[in-house]
Amino acid sequence: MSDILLALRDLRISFGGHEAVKGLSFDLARGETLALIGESGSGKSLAMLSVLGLLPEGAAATGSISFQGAELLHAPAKLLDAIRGRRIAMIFQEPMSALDPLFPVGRQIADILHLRAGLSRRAAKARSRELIELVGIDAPARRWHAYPHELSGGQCQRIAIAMAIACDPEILIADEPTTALDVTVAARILELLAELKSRLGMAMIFISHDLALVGKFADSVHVMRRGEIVESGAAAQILTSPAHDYTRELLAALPPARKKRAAQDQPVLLEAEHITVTYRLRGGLFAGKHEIKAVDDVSLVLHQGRTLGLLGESGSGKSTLGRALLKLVPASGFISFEGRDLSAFDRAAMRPLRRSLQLVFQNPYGALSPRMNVCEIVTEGLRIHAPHLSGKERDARAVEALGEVGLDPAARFRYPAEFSGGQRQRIAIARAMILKPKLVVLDEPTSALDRAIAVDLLKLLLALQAAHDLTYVFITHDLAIVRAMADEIAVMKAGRIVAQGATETMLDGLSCLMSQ
Amino acid sequence: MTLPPRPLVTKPSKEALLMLRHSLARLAASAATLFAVVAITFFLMHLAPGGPFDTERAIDPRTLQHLKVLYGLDRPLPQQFGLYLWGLLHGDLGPSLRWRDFSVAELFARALPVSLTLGIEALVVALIGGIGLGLIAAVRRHGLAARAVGAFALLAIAVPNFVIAPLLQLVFGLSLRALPVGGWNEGAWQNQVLPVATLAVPQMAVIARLLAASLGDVLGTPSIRTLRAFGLPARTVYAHAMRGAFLPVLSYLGPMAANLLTGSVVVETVFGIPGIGRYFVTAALGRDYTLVLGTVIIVACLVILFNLLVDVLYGWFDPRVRHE
Repeated sequence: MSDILLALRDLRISFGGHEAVKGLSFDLARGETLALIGESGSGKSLAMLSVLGLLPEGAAATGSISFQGAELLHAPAKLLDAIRGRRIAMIFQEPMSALDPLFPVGRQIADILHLRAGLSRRAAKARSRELIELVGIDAPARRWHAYPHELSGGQCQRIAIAMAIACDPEILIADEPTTALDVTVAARILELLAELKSRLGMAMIFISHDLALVGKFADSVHVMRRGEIVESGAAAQILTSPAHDYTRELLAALPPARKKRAAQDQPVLLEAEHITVTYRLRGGLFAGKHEIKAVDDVSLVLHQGRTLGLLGESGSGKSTLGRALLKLVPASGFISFEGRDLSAFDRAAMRPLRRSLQLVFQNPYGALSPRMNVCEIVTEGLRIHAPHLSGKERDARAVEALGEVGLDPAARFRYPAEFSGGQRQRIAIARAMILKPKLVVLDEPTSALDRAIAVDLLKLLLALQAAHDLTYVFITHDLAIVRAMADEIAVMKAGRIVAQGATETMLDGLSCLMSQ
Repeated sequence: MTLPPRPLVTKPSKEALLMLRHSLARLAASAATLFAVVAITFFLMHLAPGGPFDTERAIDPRTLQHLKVLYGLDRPLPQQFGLYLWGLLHGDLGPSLRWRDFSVAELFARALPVSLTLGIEALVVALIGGIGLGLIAAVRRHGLAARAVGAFALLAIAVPNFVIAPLLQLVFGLSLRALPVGGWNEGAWQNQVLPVATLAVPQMAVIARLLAASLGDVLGTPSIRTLRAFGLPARTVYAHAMRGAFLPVLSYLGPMAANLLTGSVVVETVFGIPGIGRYFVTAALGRDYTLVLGTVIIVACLVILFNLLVDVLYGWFDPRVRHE
């Protein structure tokens, strides 16, 4: 069929002895949107880099990549350069780092128009302004002169899209274009891509780990796992009746929305008033002082056994607030915990309280010491807070805590490196739970995890909360997670809480905001 | 209908204003640094035992007293410092205490051009050679050329200049008889080749290594991958990469330039060149307070000047610095 634009046949990519892509084959038709789905490390990005001959050093590829009859794999640089950008364009995951930080963004678009589309410098500049407008950035004449660091992540991705469509390519490859962006921004970028695709009639390959997300606008879906396609077919079919277990895992549903529970009958656990965290930026001798208020006059009340969802974009101060509530960063304001005023407590006075106040971090890879085994990690808190326990008793507690978070206690003498991200996060939770805490701040505990694993972890957290009457502060940027986990929501922006209320009523308002 | 008159002075752009503010803030900090350097040197020098008129044979106390009064050394130290600063503000570096009949300014007028000439030449050679070698090493990363550059750089950095200099004299001066082994000869080019080479080669090696390493890093970044993904010509890709990769080299260039321009004690001694580097040692040993202070001020000024220049260039190169 002449309609086939791009055909991959038995594509294999290996690094040294490790085969990262094992025999990938698919066809892309003109105007089709193809979604390549898989977890990180499944080889999907590598496969697409090889289409444009952009594989990193040391990677060896075999098989065939045929673009309208021309073989692209191991093609001479001249042929590849003729196709790159003009006929197949690509956008990347991290929009900020994908652009050159040292040049104005408009110039970067104009360069492509001038060097690749053959426009004169003057025409390229005019056209680049139009493109900036086309991808939905206002004040294009002014933004033309902006540098990447002066734009938001979403705006940078829009610029990258403008670069990609500059030469009117036949295929646009989008490598996780929204993963690094906040939810609301990501939704708008997807809309933009769908709109441009239908307007320009491009074919699109969309690489993502989120099947539910891309299923909405892809024609066909290929699910990859460990370098192989495990299932492919029409998007509608895969979304509604997935055949492979792995696909079903990827579609795993979040726990249902939290049932409404009255706050009045629960005692107040922690009360914070006028919390302000200020960071002072180091300036030169005469450069003047720079102060940034990461958290700006925030007040909130936490009731025992309930969950506060702390929503906000990256940099809105939600993590800092989480830490300030536990008195882990110096903050001004008033905090009381179980009726005791903590404001005047210094480090030593805080120490006995620490076992009641626990924190679980976003990145399970960085949160565990690689030089300690799991048992040592989990029981470290006990050595400080329950020094009277014998080694045997500590070990028994570790077994109990690991069992509670769904890990095999027999594995407790292994090291963190031997565990997956989801398992490590469970270890981190066990480390908090062993101390029988009252308040746990969960700082995006699932955002580094794949969906199926994240869902299991959320269920575990709900079960632990019910069993121990725990109070959570759940920091996230994901509305769906907040709906499942939180009784109340506080939305942060630029260090302030801009909206606060019960989850149900808040989410109605927020979805309005998002669809604007 | 008449057109409105065009403004005579166009409004400076936001970028230009930011650059200016960036530069002015640095300038103010520099003045403070310079003052601190002068003050510390002044009091340290006077703290050191001995004085400018100490010789093997004791001088007649009356003569000594007379000399001290003549040069103002009998006054209390803070007053001397004030007087020195007052003179400095008027561009007067004072008389040399050992090279009688010469003012410090007169000594510098003869020595500074010599050191500056050699320094500038060495700077240019080091930059051109270093950038060239660095590019070769980065572009042909796994080739023979890159390894050769790496070996040369390592050798050039490891071997000290008091070894390089006599070796060069031995080979080009004595064996080949191609170039004079030393002397200045009113700055004849033959006399400049070997000292410039001695000064330039190690710096060339450092620049080459710095550039090769940072260019290697930059070529692996996502922003360069983007350029490649758009099929931009290699020339453009390298132009983008060079601009980013040059930043670490630039920060090294400031102190390096100041070092080269103020003359190397070793090189000037080995090649018998009447530059400023030699004065510094003799002046320090002979407690020639004013000459030491003068030399320190010149070195400090050059260091500050070049760091300032680097800062300004940094702001020009990297918009993120400018916007801080």
